[in-house]
Amino acid sequence: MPGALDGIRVLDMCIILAGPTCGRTLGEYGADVIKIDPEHRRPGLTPWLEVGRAKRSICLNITKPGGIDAFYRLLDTADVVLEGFRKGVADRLGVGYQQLRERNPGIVYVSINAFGQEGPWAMRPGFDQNAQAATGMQVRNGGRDGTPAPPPYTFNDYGTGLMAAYGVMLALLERERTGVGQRIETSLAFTASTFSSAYMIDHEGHHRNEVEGPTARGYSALSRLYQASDGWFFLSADAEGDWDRVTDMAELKHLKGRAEFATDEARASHEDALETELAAAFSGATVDDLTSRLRAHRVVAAPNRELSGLRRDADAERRGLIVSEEHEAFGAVRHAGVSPQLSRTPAITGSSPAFGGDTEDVLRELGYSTEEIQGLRAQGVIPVSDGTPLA
Amino acid sequence: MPGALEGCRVLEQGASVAVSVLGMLLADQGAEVVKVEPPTGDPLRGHPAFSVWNRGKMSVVLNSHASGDDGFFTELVRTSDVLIADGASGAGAPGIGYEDIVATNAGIVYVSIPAFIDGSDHEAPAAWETVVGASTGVYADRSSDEADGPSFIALPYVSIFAAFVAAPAVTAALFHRARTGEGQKVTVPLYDSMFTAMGASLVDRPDLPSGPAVLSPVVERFYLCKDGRWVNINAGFERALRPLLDAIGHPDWYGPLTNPMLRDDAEQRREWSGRFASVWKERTAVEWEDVMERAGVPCTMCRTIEEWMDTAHARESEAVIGLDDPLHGPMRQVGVQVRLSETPGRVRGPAPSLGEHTEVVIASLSSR
Repeated sequence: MPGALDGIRVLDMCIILAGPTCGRTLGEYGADVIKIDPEHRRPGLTPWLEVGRAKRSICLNITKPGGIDAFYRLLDTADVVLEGFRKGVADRLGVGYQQLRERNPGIVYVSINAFGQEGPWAMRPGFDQNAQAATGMQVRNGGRDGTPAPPPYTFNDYGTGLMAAYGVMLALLERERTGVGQRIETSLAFTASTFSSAYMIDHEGHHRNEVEGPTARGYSALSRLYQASDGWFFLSADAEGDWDRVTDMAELKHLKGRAEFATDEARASHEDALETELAAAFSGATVDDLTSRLRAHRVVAAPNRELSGLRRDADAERRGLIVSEEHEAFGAVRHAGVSPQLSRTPAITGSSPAFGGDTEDVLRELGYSTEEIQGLRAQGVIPVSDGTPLA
Repeated sequence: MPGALEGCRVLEQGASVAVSVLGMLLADQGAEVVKVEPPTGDPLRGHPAFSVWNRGKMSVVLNSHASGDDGFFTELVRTSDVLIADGASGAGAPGIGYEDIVATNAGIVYVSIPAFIDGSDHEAPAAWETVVGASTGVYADRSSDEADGPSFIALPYVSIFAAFVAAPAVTAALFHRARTGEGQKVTVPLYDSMFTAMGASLVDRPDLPSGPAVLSPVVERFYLCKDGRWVNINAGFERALRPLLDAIGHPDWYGPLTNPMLRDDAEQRREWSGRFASVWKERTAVEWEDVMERAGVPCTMCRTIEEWMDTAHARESEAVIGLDDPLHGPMRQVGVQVRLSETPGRVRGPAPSLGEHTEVVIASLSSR
């Protein structure tokens, strides 16, 4: 089955995680994504296996005349260009929006940076960590009196790439109607702000009363992490009717009918006592036993899992959320698959290419002759041979 | 200028944060989002962020038991381009299943965002964030000696990330429809989308080196400044490390700091961290930000969310915007996430009151 973006060509000049995630997402939906790197800018193997997927890779030095010329010839065949340089750098390299639009008016051009293209910090360099620091995420996680701490996983990098891909497809939809291309901007700080939207609120009468810091275990005694005999689990029993059901559990029967826990209000004012009761009651049984019995009582509960277990999760592998492959260039590897399911245009996982492995093929598609390609190699525009090893 | 989704009608039905946030992302880009609520309202009404996640939408109340409303809902489905459902059973309008919906509108893009693919926990959208968070390692113990136990995180990362996964999936489906006329079903379980968030953490190869390829761990971390505030430094690469050392007057530190031995020598690393710690104590966090911005070094003060909202940058870049909310009065909230130059999108307005647009929408249907 063809992908939704079949026939769309994307030139991806981004590095690290956020920008390349945009290109990868477009590749997963069927676009022909060509990752363009100078030979010396070698990514680490781990990020390459993660965000290099569903792309082709060419090494091209666009600071040399032959390189920028090849880039422009590629641009003539392209629909989308992705860049993640600091503000002003793309213009200097000859690949800024205005420059590219003059050659290809329908181009959809994406700029991703740390803090956006407008405002006093537009020139400020930064990685995801910096955007998290600026927007309050790390203070929230580390606690206001503690050492700041980043959230788990790289939510914000991936979120930014996904939102850029959203912008690309919005622009492609619009171009389908009008033929007009446009420029898309997003930033790590905007994504961090959207993640923080639940608390990025300010109005008259708004009181901040937020659970934060490294010692937080949950919202309340009935919605929190508890320690069982062999690990932790999350109890979510604060919905209507949950109290009656949870106190049907053998170890909690003694709480049924107790006046201090009889209503939502009563439980709220005896929060600590309730938590102590539940912690004691849950401490003697295993996570599996407790969560399955809670579920049997129609109370929501889930084991608190660790990444190490998820990395080896057989069900996730069976369903393609984790993929094992014997890679031509990299040997036996495991990496993430695609998660969204589209019934008519399913997303593809794809493999990561050898770094620079498609350089000659792509140039030939553009009509470069063997002699011209040799010339580019001699000038140092492209590497001496395709497919540079990564460590 | 209109948004890219101008003229696109989205029916939003469901009681989860992910559904609301996806609806917000679409509304900000011009979609007409009709939020279909039960007579008692979306259970998230009352949540402090309801006004944010539901801004610019229309609210329609359907009484599923009253005769006649079925026809109204069918007509809504017939005239919609996208339907977002939370994948929960029994909530909201009748006939919300995929088969029922395509029978009415074969070209619709139907988006389902359940907690798990097998439909477990289908009745408790309010619990989805935490149950999926626990199930996917979001609260896992991050202390080095695993002595602290798990850390709960109140930001709804799971739900918002799923909305981030769903938004490009929906637009991919809309693009396919624009080219072929075909609709389809898009399924984005919260649990599954977290594997996209785990991303690089899932990469595995027998001989893979452990740890990130950082030039020097001493300059990829937090330091405490003169005013008791922290900065986050990300200068573990040559183009940042040299200007950083120039800016603090120690260019001669480059050699020892990039010596590969430093990686394996905890004692030496501590010594170097100690030297850096004294340097960072010489100025305030904001002063360091300015110095390092001029030097081109990624260095940011760790702000609180209130401080971020108060920065000139958040205001001028419109990461934070002002809005008149009927419930709260003038309020500040997050701005539009993705900006398009020709079809810029905008916050269309505040969140609707319950059923505010029922009559308007009925009237619009009869005129279609």
